[in-house]
Amino acid sequence: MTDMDTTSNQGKPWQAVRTEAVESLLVELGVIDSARVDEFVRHYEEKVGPKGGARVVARAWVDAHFKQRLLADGLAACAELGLGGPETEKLHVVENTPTVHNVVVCTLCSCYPWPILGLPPAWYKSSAYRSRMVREPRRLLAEMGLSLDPSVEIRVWDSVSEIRYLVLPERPAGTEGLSEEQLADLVTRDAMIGVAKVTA
Amino acid sequence: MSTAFFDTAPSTFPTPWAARAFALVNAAAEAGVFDLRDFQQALIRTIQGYEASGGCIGDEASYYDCWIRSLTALVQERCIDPVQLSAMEALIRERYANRHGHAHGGHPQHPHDHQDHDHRHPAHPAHPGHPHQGHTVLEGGSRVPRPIYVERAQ
Repeated sequence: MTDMDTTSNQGKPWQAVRTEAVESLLVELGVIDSARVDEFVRHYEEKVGPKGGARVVARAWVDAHFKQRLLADGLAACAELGLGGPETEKLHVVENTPTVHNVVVCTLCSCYPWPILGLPPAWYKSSAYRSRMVREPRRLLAEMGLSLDPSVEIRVWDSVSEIRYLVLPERPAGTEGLSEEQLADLVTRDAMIGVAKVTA
Repeated sequence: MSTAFFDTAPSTFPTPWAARAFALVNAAAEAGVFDLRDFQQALIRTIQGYEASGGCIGDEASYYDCWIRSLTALVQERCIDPVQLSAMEALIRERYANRHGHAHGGHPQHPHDHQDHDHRHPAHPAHPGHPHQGHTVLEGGSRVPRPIYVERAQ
């Protein structure tokens, strides 16, 4: 594929030309509308992001009943907060505890709970992450800045088209006095993928 | 994995065309051109072929390359003639060249320099020995998700 990674003779990357050509033809065929494509771009650039997932986590930390519903049916619980979309059929939420740490990978491509977390980070899609996380998660997590005690079991979840995963991180100590909104501000995308912990 | 690659910056699209290609898949799926799951399978095939032939997804560019290749393959299967696509690309290049004052009085030199048909990697079918084929989690009568790998406490 590297031979394709060059720009065309006019300086416009072949991928840009290809994308424009596909869009033009689909519009000509009358199957899509460019305004709808614009809407999808705006939606993912501006409206969807890890803040949605952070709201879910914070709610689960302060509301035990919500947490129960979240662990039982992730999509239904997220829908309570107005989150969701056609990209995910099933959302399985896995809870971190002092003895079990969960981390999510998509070994085959880039399956990710888009409506809850937004766009996946570049490294999530990398060959290195996808292959190593299912062979040496403890070492890889340490390299990524998360050193787990050897006594902690690491469970790696393979995201696929039918089922996506969201990690419910542990609530950090010393946050008893924080509001739900303040708690949500602490929750990071990486903690919900499982490559980081939430810190206060 | 280099630390530089492991960034914590908010995710966004690396280039305008990547955003467009991403949105285009969503719009086409919504319009029923294909199912998102079909796209996912196409993406898996593209990535497997790319990695099997020694490619490495190390940045957003290589990932979205696979994305646009997968979209191309799917629309060519469903509704767009490859010849039409090439012609449209030539037209776009020409328009672009004219807009930028580089008109050289003719068609682009390489209107067919993107040989996707030759790059679908037919020699690399989905790895039959792969421990995870994308559906195994829900097969075998079990609806209970299981981790793909567990590194036990020591």
